[in-house]
Parts: sequence; C-alpha cells; structure tokens
Amino acid sequence: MPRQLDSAKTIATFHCVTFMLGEDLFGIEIGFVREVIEYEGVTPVPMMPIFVRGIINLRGAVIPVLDLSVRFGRGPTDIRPSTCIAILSLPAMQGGYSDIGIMLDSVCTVLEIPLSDIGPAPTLGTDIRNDFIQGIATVDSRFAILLNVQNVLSVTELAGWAQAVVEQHWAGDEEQL
Amino acid sequence: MPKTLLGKVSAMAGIAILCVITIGVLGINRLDALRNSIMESSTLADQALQCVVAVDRADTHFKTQVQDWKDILIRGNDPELFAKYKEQFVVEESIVQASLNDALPLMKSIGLADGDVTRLRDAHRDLGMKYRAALNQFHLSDANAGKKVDALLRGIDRETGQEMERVTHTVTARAIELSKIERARAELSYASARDETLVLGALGAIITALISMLTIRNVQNSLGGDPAYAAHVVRQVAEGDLAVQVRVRASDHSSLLYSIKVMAFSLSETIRDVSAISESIGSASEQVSATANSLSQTASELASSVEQTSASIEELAATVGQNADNARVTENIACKSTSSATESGQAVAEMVRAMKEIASRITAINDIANKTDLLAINAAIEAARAGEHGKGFATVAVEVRKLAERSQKAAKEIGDLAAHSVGVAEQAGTLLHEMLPGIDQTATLVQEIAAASREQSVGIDQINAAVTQISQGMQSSAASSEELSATSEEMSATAMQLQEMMQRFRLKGGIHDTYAHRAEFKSPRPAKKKQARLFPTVLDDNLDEPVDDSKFTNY
Repeated sequence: MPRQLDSAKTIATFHCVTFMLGEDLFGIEIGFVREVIEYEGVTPVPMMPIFVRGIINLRGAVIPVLDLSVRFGRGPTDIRPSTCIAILSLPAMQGGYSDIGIMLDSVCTVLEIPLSDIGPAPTLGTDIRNDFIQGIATVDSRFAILLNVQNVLSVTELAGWAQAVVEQHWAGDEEQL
Repeated sequence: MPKTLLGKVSAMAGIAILCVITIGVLGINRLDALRNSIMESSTLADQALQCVVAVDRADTHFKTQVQDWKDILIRGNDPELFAKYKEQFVVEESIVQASLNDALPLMKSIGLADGDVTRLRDAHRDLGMKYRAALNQFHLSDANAGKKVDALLRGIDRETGQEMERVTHTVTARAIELSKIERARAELSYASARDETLVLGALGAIITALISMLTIRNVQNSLGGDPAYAAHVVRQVAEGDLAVQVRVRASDHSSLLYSIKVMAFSLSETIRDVSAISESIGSASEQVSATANSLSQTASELASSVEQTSASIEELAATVGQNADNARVTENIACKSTSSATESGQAVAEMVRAMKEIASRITAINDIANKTDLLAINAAIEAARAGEHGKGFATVAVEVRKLAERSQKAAKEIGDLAAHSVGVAEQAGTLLHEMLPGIDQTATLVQEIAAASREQSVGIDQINAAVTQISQGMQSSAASSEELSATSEEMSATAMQLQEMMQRFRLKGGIHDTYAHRAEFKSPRPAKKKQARLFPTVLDDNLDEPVDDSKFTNY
C-alpha cells in the first residue's frame, strides 16, 4: 500500500468510486461523489421522466434519485439488500452545485487507477452511449466503465426530458379532452 | 229274550224255579188238605177210642163195684172192713157215673145214639140207690146180715151188667167201623194226592228238561262245542299248540271255539311275525354290536388324536403367549419410540428456530458490516476530498473497509452455514414428522398384534378347553359305545331267547296253507267289517306273493 501511495504521488491517477450496476462494473470520479447511503426507499414523483425513480430526503434536502439503468436504456434497477444511493454533487447551470442521487446495485470500493491503465471508450461492444463513457479501465482483469458524469447526468438534457414528458402528458390530456 | 248266556240261563232258571214253586205250592196245598183230613180222622178215632175207653172203664168199674158190694156183704160185719168196702163201693160207683157221663157226649160224635148210654147211666144210678137202700138193712151185729141183704138184691145187677157189656160192644164195634171208614178215606186222599203230585212232577220234569235243553243249547252255541272239548282246545293253545284243529260248525261264526280258532290263527300269525322280527332284531343287534365296537375303536383313536391335538394346542398356546408378551414389550418400545420421536421433532423444531434466530442475528451482523463498509467508503470519499490531508484517514478507511468485508464474509459464511443447518434441521424435522405417523402406526399395529395375541391366547384357551371336552366326550363316547356293544349283545341274546320262546309254539306247517286257512275266515261274512280287522292288512297284501320259506324254517 505505501508503495502504491508512493507511486500515486509520482504517477497521475484517476481517483474513482467503483460500483456494480447490473453485471457491469462502473466507476465515477470521486470528486463528484459526496457520499454513499443505503437505499431506504424513494418517494415517487409524478410527471417525471422514467429514469427519475423518485425523491429522497437527505438531512432536510430534497434530492432526486435517478435510475442509471433506465438512463442507459435498460430495465429498471431491481431493489436488493446491497442497493445504495450515491449522492453526487454536480455543477449547476446557475453556478453552484446541485445534488442528484443515483441508484447503484452495490458499491465496490474507492480506487486510484493509473491513467495508463485507462483506455478510450470503445466504439462498439457496449450499448451505452459513447458520450457517457470517459474511458475503460481494467481492474483486477475486469473492465470497469468510467462514466462521464456530466454527460450522463446532464442537467440540461434532464430538464429537456422533463419538459418533453410534461408536454407529452398535457398533449395526451388534450387529445383525451 | 236276553242276549247274554247269563241272561238266558238266568231266565231259564227263573222259569224252572217258578215251576218248582208252583209245584211246591200245589203239593203243600194238597198236603194241607191231607193233613186236615188225617186230623179229622184222627180226632174221630180219638173220640171213638175215648168213648170205648170210657165205656170199658165204666164196665170194669161196675164189675169192681159189684165186687165191693159183695165184699161188703161177705165181710161187712167187721165195721172197719164195712167202711172200707163201702167207701170203695162209692168211689167205684162215682167212677162209673163219671165214665158214662164222659162217654155221653162222645157217642154223638162217633155217630151213635146216646140214648143207650143215658139209659144205662140212669139204670146204674137207680141200681146204686137200690144198693144203698138195701145196705140200710145191713146190721153189723147180725152175722147173717149179708145173706139177708143179698137175698133182697140178688140178680139185680145182671141186667145192668149185660146192658153195660152190650153198650161196650156197640161202641167198640162202632170204633172199629169208624177206623175202617177213615182208613178208606185216607187211602182215597192219598191216591188223589199221589196222582196230583205225579202229574205236577211230570210237568215239572218236562219243563225242567225243556229249560235244560235250551240252556245246554245256548251254552253250546256260545261255546261252539262241548265245554270239555273247548277246555281241551284252550289247554292245547295254552300249551303253545297253535296248530290245533278246532272243530266248529260251518255256520258258526260267533262261538267261543270259533273265536279261539281265530285267536290261534291270529296268534300264530303274530308269533310268526314276532319270530321273524326277533330274528331280524337279533341280526340287527349283532350289526349294532359290530358297529358299536368299531365306533368304540374309532372313538378311542379319535380320543388319542384329540389328546395329541390338545398337546399341540398347548404348545401353540405357549408360543402365542410368548408372542403376546413380545408384542406387549414391542408395544411399550413403540410407545417410547413415539414419544422419543415426538420429542426429537420438538427438539429439531427448536433447533430450527434457534438456527433461524442465528440467521437473523447474522443478518444484523451483516447489516452492521454493510453499514461499516458504507461508512468506510464514505470515509474514503471524505478522505479523497480532503486531498493530501486525508491520506492517513484514507488508509484507516481502507482498513476499516477490509475489516467490514471480513465481517461480511464471516457473516455470510455463518449465514450460509446457518441456512444450511436450518435446511438440514428442517429436513430432519420433516423426516421425523414423516416418521411419526409410521411409528404411531407401528405402535397401533403392535398394540393390535398384542390384542390379537391376547385374543388368540384366549381363543386357544377356549380351543384347549373345547378339545379337553371333546377328549372327555370321546372317552365317554367310547365307553358309551362299549356299553352299547354290551347292550346290543344282551339284546341279541334276548332276541335268541325270544326266538327260543317262540319255538315253543307249534304253528301250522305251510305258509300257503295258512293263507288258504285265512281265506276260510274271510269269505263267509264279507259284510262284517269287524271280522276283517282281526287280520293285519299287511299280510293281506302279501297274500298272493311268493313267500320266502327260509324265513320260517324255525317253525
């Protein structure tokens, strides 16, 4: 360990939190992660995009919780004992930060991956959009997808989604009327 | 006319007695008349005799009076003698007077005139007067007084004396005559009575003869022959000679002899049958004896078999008793097994519960480990955000994470083990649970087996008792059959005796002869059904069939 620390000093590393989502190993840069909490249920919010699972109350702050699996175009995440919510702090459009929770199947560890071990995002071989992926790292002979959180959780895009949903909803209502 | 012999004979005897009584009454009447006649005659004769006696006495005493008179005359000078002779003289005189007075009424009775006697009496009285008067002349002192007085009355008594003698003679003659007359009358009476008696006797004899003949005929008709002959026949029958030839008249169908003949025939038929039956009884009793012997033997064999069976059953009873004991022990064991299995089931259930609790506790540990892990990660994140200052803290966080992971791993292992144990324990519980009904069933079955064994034991006891009874029954049966054998032998002997007794009877020879003989009874009066009943109908059926003579060889 001390040796690794020594090497980390000299070599540039990607400091990240790894977690499991489905069968895949993902990593998020640690700078965006504020904390990881246990999943204790969410309060569903109507008229939200389907990848928004609901909202939670974290020490008085209302935080939306996203389902990355849905965001990646897969089915909704199953709730397990190991399911966690990672609270991310993202830079907001108006400046400052906005907190967003994402659902993880399980949190793995905190890693410092040498940049040399990180490859570019592949063009094929995964159904996740390329702009979501920052790179592919090999951890313990296994691929870990390092997510580009700003893209994945682009607030703009999310807001657009939300708008679309609202419009669609109202449109549906009008049609029904 | 009465039907019975007694009636007939009684009636005839009555008639005879009537006749005899009539004859007797008539004879007595006749005798009465005869007696009256004789009495009359005898009275007459008596009177005649009295008359004769009286007259004769008067004559005699008159002569004595005269003698006394003469004595007075001769010896009357002696006063003593005088008085004596005078007294005698008076006495004699009174006797003569009395006798003549006596004779006087009798004279009329014997049919003579009493005038002579009256005259004689008067004459005698006069004579007496004359004597007394003359006696007054007699002086005692005068020696010749007698001669003087005599001279006064000489010859005075001659007429009276002669008269006296004549009357005596007349009376005597009359008496003799009367006697003759009465004798003749008696002869006549006797002849008439004799004739009447003869006639009555002859009549009685004739009636008696008729009645006797009738009686004899009746008796003969009733007996059917002479009583002696009947007695002879009866004696022969009594001696057992049933072949006796009884002579009866052809028309006779009701007499004693005919009945005896029928009886003899009937008896001979009966005895024939009895003899045949006794023979068959003899053979039957011999068969019975043989059968009884074989029965006795069989019974003895059976008794021994039954005893063997009894021994076998006792062994069986012992085996069954052992079975019952074993079943009882097994039952107890099964009961214990049931309770043990139930307890085991409870223990396993408790174990499962404990395991589940362990699992839940393990979950808590796991939770704690997870939380610790999460805390370590958050710490690592915080450390990372702290930059260079957080390096040491990051190391601690890593260590804490490692510990949490180890805790997680251990908890997981324990949880797995507990889960596995729970599964195993549940399986054991299930198996025990499945086992319970089996054990219960086994216990029930064993109980049933025990009960069945007990029932078997009871049943075998009963069988044993029954077999003992059968054995006793067999023994008594054997004894009984021996007794039966003895009895049948006795019976056989009795039948032989009976046959010997039957041989005493002499029966008519041929059997056909007998049946022909019987026809003789049947034919004359077919109208009389009573007659037909004398013979058993069975024999009538056999009348025309050939008869096995060998059956009758003994006769």
